[in-house]
Amino acid sequence: MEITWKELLDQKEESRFELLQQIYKEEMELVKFRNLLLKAQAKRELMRVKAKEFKGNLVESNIL
Amino acid sequence: MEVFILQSQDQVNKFYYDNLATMSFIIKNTGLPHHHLDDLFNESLEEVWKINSRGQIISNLKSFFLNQIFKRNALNLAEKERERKNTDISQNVSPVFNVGTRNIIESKIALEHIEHILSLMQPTCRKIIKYYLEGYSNEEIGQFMNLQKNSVASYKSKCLDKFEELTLTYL
Repeated sequence: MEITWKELLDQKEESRFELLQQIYKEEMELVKFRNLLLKAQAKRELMRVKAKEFKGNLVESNIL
Repeated sequence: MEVFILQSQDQVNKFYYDNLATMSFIIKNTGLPHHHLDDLFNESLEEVWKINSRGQIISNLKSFFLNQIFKRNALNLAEKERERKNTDISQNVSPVFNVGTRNIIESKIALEHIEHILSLMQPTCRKIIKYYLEGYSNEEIGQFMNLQKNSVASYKSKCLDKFEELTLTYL
């Protein structure tokens, strides 16, 4: 939800509180989703590192 | 709010690996380095999530994500990078170039700069300096502009003084 400060201040007090609550909720959900994306990225990186190590091990074993 | 399809790490990563080939193809075509891919993916997926949370129904997530959001973001980022590189180059160019000696001016920025300064000068001076920078002698310039050899020389010294003054004030 996108709303300017002026629009927010133009509202009546009751609806203003509701709007603020809604914005806060949406913002929290967005933060959650962002965290999910970052965790997923970290997992991908970990997998990449593991794959590299695995590859390295294979190469080493072949040399030996 | 619509329920977004990707709700766990594994689902996100599956979506990532499914579209990895197309994403890297897009990134390669825009000329960006490959390490931007992950950030672009996160940014674009967040945008799709926002659109979905505002109530717009996305019928085909894959094509919407790839063809509209990801492609657009990649192009924007590529343009930003290009601009950043150009400004970096202009900062690295040394601000003083000697007008008295004949320099071979290859850099486009320097040329643009000279043209800007020339546009501030009077037309005769402009012509003389242009010919001078191109490497013509006083005699040849005199032939081009219907002037005596000596008057070209005196014009030239005055104009070059002015030119130098302007370069120092505008750099």
